[in-house]
Amino acid sequence: MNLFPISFSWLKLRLIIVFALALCIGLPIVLNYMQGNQNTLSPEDADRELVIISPHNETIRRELGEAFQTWWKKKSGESVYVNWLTPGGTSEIRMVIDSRFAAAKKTKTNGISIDLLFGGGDYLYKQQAKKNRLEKLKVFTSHPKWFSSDVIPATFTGETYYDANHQWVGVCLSRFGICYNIDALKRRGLTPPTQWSDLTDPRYFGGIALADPTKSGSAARAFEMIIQQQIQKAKATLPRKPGETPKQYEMRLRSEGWDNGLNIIQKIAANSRYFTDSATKIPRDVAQGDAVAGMCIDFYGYTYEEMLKHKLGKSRIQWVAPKNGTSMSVDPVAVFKGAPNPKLAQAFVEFLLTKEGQSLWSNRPGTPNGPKHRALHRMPIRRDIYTKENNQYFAIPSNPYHEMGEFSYDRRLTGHGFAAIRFIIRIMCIDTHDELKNAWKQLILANYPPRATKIFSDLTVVSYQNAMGGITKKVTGKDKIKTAHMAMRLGKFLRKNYNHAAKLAKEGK
Amino acid sequence: MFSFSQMNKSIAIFITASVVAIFGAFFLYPVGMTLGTAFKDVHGGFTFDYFIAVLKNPYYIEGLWNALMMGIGSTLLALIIAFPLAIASHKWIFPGKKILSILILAPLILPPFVGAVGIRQIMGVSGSFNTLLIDLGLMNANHPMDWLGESRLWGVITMNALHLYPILYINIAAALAHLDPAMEQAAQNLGCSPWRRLKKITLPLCMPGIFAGAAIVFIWSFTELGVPLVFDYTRVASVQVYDGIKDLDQNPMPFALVGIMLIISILTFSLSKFFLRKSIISQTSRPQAHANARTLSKQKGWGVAAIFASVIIIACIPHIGVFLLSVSNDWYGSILPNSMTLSHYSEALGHPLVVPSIKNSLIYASGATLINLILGTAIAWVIVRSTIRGRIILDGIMMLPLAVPGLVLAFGYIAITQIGEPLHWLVGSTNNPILLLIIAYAVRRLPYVVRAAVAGLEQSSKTLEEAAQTLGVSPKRIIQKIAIPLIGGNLIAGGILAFAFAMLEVSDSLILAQNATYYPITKAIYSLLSTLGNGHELAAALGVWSMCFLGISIVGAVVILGKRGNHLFRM
Repeated sequence: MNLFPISFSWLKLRLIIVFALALCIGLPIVLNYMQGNQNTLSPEDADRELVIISPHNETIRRELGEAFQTWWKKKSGESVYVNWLTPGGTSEIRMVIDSRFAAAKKTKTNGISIDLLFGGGDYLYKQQAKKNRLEKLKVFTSHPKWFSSDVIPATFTGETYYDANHQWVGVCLSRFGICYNIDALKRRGLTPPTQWSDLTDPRYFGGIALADPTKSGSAARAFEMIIQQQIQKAKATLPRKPGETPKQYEMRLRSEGWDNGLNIIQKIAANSRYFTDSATKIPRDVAQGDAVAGMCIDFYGYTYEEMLKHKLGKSRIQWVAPKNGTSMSVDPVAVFKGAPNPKLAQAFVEFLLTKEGQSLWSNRPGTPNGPKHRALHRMPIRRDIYTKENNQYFAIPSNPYHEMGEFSYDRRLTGHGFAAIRFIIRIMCIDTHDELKNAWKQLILANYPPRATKIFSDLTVVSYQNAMGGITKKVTGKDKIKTAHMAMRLGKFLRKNYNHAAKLAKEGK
Repeated sequence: MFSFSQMNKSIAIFITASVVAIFGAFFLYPVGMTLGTAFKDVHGGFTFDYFIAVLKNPYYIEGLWNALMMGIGSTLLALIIAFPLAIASHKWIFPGKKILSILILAPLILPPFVGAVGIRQIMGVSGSFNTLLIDLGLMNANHPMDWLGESRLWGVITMNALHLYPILYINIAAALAHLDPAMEQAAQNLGCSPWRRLKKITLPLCMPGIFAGAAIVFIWSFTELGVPLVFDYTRVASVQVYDGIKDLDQNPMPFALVGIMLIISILTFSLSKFFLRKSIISQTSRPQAHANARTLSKQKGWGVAAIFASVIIIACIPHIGVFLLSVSNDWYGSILPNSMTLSHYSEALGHPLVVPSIKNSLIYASGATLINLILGTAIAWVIVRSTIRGRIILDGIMMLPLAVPGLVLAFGYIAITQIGEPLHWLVGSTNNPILLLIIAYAVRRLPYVVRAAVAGLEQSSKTLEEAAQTLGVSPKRIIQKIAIPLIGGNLIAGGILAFAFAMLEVSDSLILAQNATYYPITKAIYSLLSTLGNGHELAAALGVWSMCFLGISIVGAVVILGKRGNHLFRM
């Protein structure tokens, strides 16, 4: 019996398969050789090894890794192999670190065989610093001039740029904004959004892609900004009532701003398709027209914008920083306690903050100090990089220190309830997403009948006072079963509300 | 004197003890390490509170219910697709049969991550399908259909079935290859109608194969994560677990939910096995001949070929999407890419990560498949042939690796191989994960081989083995000379599934292969996906490469393994 009896003999068939397999395996080997990768340093050949755990994408890892190898070779004459550990995004990294520290504690070992933590939002670093897992950075003492307001400011737009105890330091900047597809907007009769609240327009229904605040600290910060913006708006517009003490007035402003902010988040979520923790999914879906608009980190937006502009003349995807609605946060770096190569790790931090290291983020490939392979479209943290002379080399000619509006993140307003905000969005929008969307759809169809709209928007269970008090206490407490019970209770309440609102809207009430 | 049955029993006990030890160390222990948090209260004491909280929360109950619907729906639909195709391929000769019988397995080689992107390119709002409908005047360009956003559960079920039917097909094909045509011929001679023959003879005889495939497809789709995420369908247990585990607040609820999913999986498996047991008939002898397939008339033949081709085309939508994406400069709002290029291939395949990852994947997947074939056959022999107590439970437990979410098992492995843990030697001081990855891949793919081997043994009678035993042949020789040759086709089927799915493994690869030196292909695809700008196109190019490689390997396995393979695929 024969597999393909008509055209081939048994032997011929075997030969064809062996040939096809050889071709298949040979092709990458040949291409690899042609691109000169055989010269890539292997761990065995290198004098030193640096282990970095990072959520940074492949483009950033490759450029920074190679540039550091060159820098270190020049400085010390030694070759170094940069070993990137990339278990996934920030969530996976946090889990790997926790797991390794748990084992180290058990065996009383010093350190987790990793030198550096690099990239991800400052939230991850604050958590690690709190757990006393980070080493003090030497760069603060070796280059004290770098830490002045005209080079690296301690804070900007309300965000912290380096740790007061010198355990971590930001190296580049990013902010959340909105990316949108101009064709999809046109199809729905929409004009380009300029601020977060524009995304509450019912014509966006089913067309918004959102980042998941429960899995990413920086996405959660973007949602927190929506609330803060409303509190600041309330401060600017609401007058003090007669007889109201300054404290009462402040509380009223915060409560009203909080409610308005949550209502905006609720409507944006009701318009949304999903909440994702994949950073590339959102700009991709928007570029492909599967989503009309999405919440997107600046450099992904810029990269897509530039990539598609280059080829078609004008880009169908655009990125915009919401007016007064976003802060400029940092991607930090930190050295782990018990790092196997502490000196090299500290040198890596220093390299990242040198002008050479900083220019890699912003410059076009091939420009002085620029990346070798492709532009990273990111903004360096050092203020003194943004000079006229350097500007000509930038992939995106912009200066974040000039561009940002007057809006500034104010930790005192909502910072205490950061965990509560994530929890509330989960209960109010993610776990109840189906019911929320359905209720919103019925409200739109029925042209917002007052009773149904009132029930839909009723968020008293997650008011400012509740969030900052009981909810924060339970969410940050050790007894997770209490959090689970609270999640169930609030979830049930909101589901009931949404279903009730949908029913009333259908009846036109 | 030491009787044969005693010998049988002592070997069975030895195999069971070894398997339980291996399985305990590399599956139950790591899973237990991760799920343990769901049983610890705030003071470190034992608690069932999280379990109760899951069962009381309507959000999780709905998720479990939807997962069950997803599992049952996908299994039934996959069966509806696979069974007639396998029967048709077994009974008839039709135009293009050889090539169609191989192509029907195409969904097996779809690479992860990019498969989802491929579907979006075709079925997305501005995808090829909508553009085609708009061009044909069948859709309003201002209101394109959002196929992925609107269909949800049905979409997920359809996509699951189209991805998983080859598992059923390959198992049923193996069962049919075992059928003794004498029984059917006898029935035919006695005037039995074709429909009645199918119902009374073919179906009961190949029931072990159907059950083997269906059990895998059910548990797979009950716990499937990737497909619901493509459809943004989040009210389903697997997605709830995934979201919960990654939550910054670290609540043990998702681990309690995993525990409940495991219980449901094992219960469904054991109950269906119990009820189906009665309908399984084993044959009295090894078939001496293989049924001669009948050549269909031209019209009917082309009809059957057209059905095969339609299933293949629909099931290959993601593959087509991945391929076109890999050669596109920009592909948006058009049926085919606006302009094409091969540059993504040279960039992706020439990337420094790729060549080592190919070598790694081959080592991991082959090692895992080899372990699976040895362990799987031994376990199947205990389950089917031995009389030791608790073998049914053993059978059920063997299915659990399919039901445990990848992240749970992967973090379990990290926990058990840390310094100071008893299994730290697996990674050693250099943190080399090769052994660990081979074991991790093997554990997760073991059910394919166990099911296939169990089906083979159930279908073949033990009279031959008993005869050999009576003649004083050693059990080792019996297994070598009788049992394994009898179930060779089934082992090839199980081995192909194990190898293919090991090559395409995701969770363990992402979490355990942290160092670039040890990346398998899937992690290289994942890394390329994160390249700024053309990451999706680069990942698609490497995805196409892995499809080609796996495709050639599977055809190669069938060809080189010779006769057995031919029986399996009825060439």
